[in-house]
Amino acid sequence: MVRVALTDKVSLGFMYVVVVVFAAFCIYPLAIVLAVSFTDESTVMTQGYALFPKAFSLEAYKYVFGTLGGKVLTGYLVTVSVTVVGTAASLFVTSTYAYVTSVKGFRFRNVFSFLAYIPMVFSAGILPWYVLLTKYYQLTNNLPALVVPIIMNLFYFFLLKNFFNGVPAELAEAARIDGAGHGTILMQVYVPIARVGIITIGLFYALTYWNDFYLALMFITEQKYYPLQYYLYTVLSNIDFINNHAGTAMGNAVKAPLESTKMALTCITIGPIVVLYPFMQRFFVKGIIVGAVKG
Amino acid sequence: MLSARKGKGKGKGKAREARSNRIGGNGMMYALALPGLIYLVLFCYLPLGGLILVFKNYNFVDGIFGSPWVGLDNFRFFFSSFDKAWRATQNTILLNALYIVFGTIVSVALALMFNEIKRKKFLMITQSVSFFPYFVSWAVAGGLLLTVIDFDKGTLQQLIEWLGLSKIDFFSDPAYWPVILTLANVWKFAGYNSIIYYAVLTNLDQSYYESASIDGATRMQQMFRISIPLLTPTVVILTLLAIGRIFYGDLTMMMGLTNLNPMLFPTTDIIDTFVYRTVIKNGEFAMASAVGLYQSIFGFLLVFIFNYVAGRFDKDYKIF
Repeated sequence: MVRVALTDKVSLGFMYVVVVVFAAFCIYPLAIVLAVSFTDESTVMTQGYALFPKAFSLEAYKYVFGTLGGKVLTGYLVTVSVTVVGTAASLFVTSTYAYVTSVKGFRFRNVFSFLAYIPMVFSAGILPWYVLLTKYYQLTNNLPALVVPIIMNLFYFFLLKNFFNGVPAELAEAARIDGAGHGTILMQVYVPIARVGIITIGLFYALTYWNDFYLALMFITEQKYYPLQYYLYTVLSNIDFINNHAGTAMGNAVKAPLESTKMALTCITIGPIVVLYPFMQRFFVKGIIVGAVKG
Repeated sequence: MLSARKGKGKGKGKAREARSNRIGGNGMMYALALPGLIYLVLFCYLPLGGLILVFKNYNFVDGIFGSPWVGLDNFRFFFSSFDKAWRATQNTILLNALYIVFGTIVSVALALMFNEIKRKKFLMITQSVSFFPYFVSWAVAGGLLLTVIDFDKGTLQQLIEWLGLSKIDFFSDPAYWPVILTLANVWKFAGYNSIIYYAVLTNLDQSYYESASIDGATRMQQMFRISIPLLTPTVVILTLLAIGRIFYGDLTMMMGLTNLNPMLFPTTDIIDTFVYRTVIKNGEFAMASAVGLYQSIFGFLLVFIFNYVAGRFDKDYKIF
């Protein structure tokens, strides 16, 4: 018994070490990104990225919040609303479809999952997709354009289906005998039991909407619909453009700090997520199924 | 259930009621499937109709349907430079295989370790941190990679010098890149993917562990006899999904990390970078779609085979 406890302690200690090492590899770039965002631009140019900058500067943040302030705020608003509405809508579409494809005894469940599988592998490329969505579905310069095209992620669908497959069939059966319809079974049996799965793909969806700038690049031209990521992307390409043309067309235009701004923008976009994630983690609670199927 | 009721010899009315219940139930099933089906049709299958583009000489004036037919001409460019196309295909498969194997091993291992760690604060911090690289774009990651392997200033180079060895010029030797790219891929996605496995582990029936520890199983034994077997279906499904996309590479990753440096092409030129360089830059969308079709068909064939093999082990492993 003593020996057992000892090997467990050794292996557990080993795990702590490995996890710390891995975390260090992940936090190193965070530290660099943060440090560079506070570094004077000319120092970045000569020194490259460094953890301890020789010259400290708030230039990048002044530029982002001072010069661009109001537009950054609009960007946040668009992103937050797209993320909230999008995540809710995506969870609805994904969980209903996942339910249909995982309930045993439903004849077409494999047909439906096959239908969801094909587009994961086959695509006709970007052009037909773009033409169809802009010309026929009118997904240009409106908020649905930032949600609807990615409302169901097929990978997350399969992930959730996998969680739903783990729901004991006896429970669904018991609910059905008690007279529950499929909608009720989904909401009151599947969703609570596969809660961790719902939380996980909810988190992934939220991150997708939060990070997206591809849809904006494709479908948005009016600035009032720019999500944060896309707005920041345009800022960076503008700085790049000005810097490249400074001295020619722009005369003695002041060069904006490109590298440090890039890093500052990275911090601004991921900041809220890094802060929010620990709160999400509370939902990963063990032992929900315990005792559900007994006797 | 139906037969059980019949077996009890209940009357005709009961049987009819049961049948109508079942049909009503299925109607509800179709209703629940509807949002997903509408999405699949409108945003996945209708655009697939655009595949006819592959057999046309696309121009903007005539559009997808009006452009003239050209048969298999759009495939010609890809196979006319066959050695490069073949090299790109090999590189794509090799790199993706490396990502799948090492990515899965690391993220499963991380999830298992997170699952063993009982200190809440420690878990919260390390797990949040391991998630971070996911948010770093490949462009920024490329800059970070430079701080490590840059010939003049890289941390690794300084370490190599300190050890008394001669510095390595990573940017002119393609041999190192499969390793570098795999490490970069694992670094970026392992924390994120470990969330999936961790979620599966937390969702398990904890009574397995309770009875195992009552029987005197060590935590390591519980890990190998309970956690890993119960994770296997998820690993199989995610791997199958990844195999379907094994012919697709990540263009932005290659652009960010290698800057499409021609010296590194022997190991880093993947189908996507090859297509980007040769056709997309010239606006030849039809040719790009043609290669896309090539990537899809072979990925699909591969998945069919692996899906069949997985099904031989356990019916639940199949994705369709």
